[in-house]
Amino acid sequence: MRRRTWILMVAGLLISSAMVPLAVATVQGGSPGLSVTPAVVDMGALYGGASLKVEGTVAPGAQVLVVVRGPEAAEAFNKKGRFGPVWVNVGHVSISGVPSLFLRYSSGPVKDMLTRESLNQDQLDDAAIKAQMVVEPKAMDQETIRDNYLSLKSQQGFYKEVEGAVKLGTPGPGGVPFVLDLPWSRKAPPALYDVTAYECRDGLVAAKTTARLEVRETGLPEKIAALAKNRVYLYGMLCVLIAMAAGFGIDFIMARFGKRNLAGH
Amino acid sequence: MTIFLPVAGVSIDLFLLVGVGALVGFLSGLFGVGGGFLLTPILMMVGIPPTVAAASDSCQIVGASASGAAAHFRLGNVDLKLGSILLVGGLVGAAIGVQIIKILRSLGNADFVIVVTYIVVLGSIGSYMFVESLQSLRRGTMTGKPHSSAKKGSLLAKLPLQMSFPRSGVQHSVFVPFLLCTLVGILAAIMGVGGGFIMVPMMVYLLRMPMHVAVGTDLFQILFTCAGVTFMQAVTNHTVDIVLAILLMVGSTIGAQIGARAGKRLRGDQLKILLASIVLLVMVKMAVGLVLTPSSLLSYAKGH
Repeated sequence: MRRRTWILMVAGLLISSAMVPLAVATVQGGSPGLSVTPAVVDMGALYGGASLKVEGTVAPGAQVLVVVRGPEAAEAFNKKGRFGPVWVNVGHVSISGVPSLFLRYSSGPVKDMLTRESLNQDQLDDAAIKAQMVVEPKAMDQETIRDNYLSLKSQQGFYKEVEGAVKLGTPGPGGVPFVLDLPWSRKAPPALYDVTAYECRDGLVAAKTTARLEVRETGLPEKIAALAKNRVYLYGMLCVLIAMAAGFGIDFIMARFGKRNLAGH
Repeated sequence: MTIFLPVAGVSIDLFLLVGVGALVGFLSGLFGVGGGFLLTPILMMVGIPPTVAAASDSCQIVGASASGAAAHFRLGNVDLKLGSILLVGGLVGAAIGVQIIKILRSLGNADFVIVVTYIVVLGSIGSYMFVESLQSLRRGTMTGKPHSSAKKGSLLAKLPLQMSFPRSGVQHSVFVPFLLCTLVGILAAIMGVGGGFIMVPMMVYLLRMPMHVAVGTDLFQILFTCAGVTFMQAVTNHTVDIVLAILLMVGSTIGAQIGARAGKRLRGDQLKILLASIVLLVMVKMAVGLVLTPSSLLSYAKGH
């Protein structure tokens, strides 16, 4: 009896553990499958950006939107204004409630894929981001500041919208595969980014899945950054000593091995 | 080939940075100016955050001025006696200038004052040097006016603590270089630069020092001033990027050596007119930037 109970328990455990992946697969079946390769970008000494591949599957007949978002944090700005004929800083502005980076790639024209309500609901374009932007102080010209924020981010390459970059493949038994070759800007700072794939159908977001992209400093840059932040006196002294040593060292080399045609002075 | 700058947090072309350093180092060796007034804006243009650009610039100036000062020292172009007085005066002026900046910031638009100071100072010095050097070149005279000390009977000659500076071939009261350098130090602190481009003309026109000695002596005092600034920036603001500074230094120290050699091939008047042209160009660029509508009305408050 006891033996039978054990057998039943083990069999039950095996069946339940087999059911877990099935359950996950079921959930994924309703959402676009998503993978980002590589999922971690290492900013080493010779880092110059990266080439990422975002892949997944969606249900047949759906269009795809891939959005990369940076972490939200309040950012401080100076605001310029006219003072007579010249432009000068006339105040400080704090902007929050918006992603530090917003890159949107789609498989087709977004205006044909989603309604305005859907875009606003998931904050999928500049207009939606602008609407949720918090500008302090409130007394500032909100509309101008919001437009200028978007324009500044766009100039830096941190806000971008590209249509037709997501390629849809041939439908298969698992759905329609999609792929996005994403050139990751070397200017993007180290942070945890969210990569979200939206499955769009009939003007609505039918499903969405998010994956994490980690961009981090590694190796020598990581060590130097830590030293500069945590051991400031040592770092300051090292900076001065290295600079002096480099200057005198190069002078020594030039004086010893360079052509000496200065004596005529 | 790109390289990641750990403190700036940006990735940038290695050869671009070395090239920029070499160009500014060349000017440093040629004119004795630290190059901060040129390098910081260039670094900002290539994508380095302004605070990191300014602080790392100070660090690289330590290297460039060490190299340039050593080269000039061997040539007998460094007046250590006068340079020490200038250094003390410059440090006192910088301390006063930092306090002035604090007051200006608390009052409101310090940035406007800084830019206007730049334009006025650069415009005045550049125009004076340009016209004077041009006249001198047209006359066909050699390196400017003959050196002279304060004339006997003049107010400057009556000041106490008269001191002879044989290396520069001048005699002045200790107060003259000290006060002049204090004034330059104040301006340099307000303008956020080493001050070489103000100091060299001051030494030539007001202290009547020979151009080459003024250049060498200026590099000597810049070396110590910028070493202090670098240390303070690293400790208080954590904005010195040593990788960026080293790359700029590689270019600038070599450029400074070449500049020092090139300077020997040019007459004093030619050096002055070249420096005046650069000063005026920077002034015009700043003036135009002040009037033109900016591409964005927002700029990062902390330089990122």
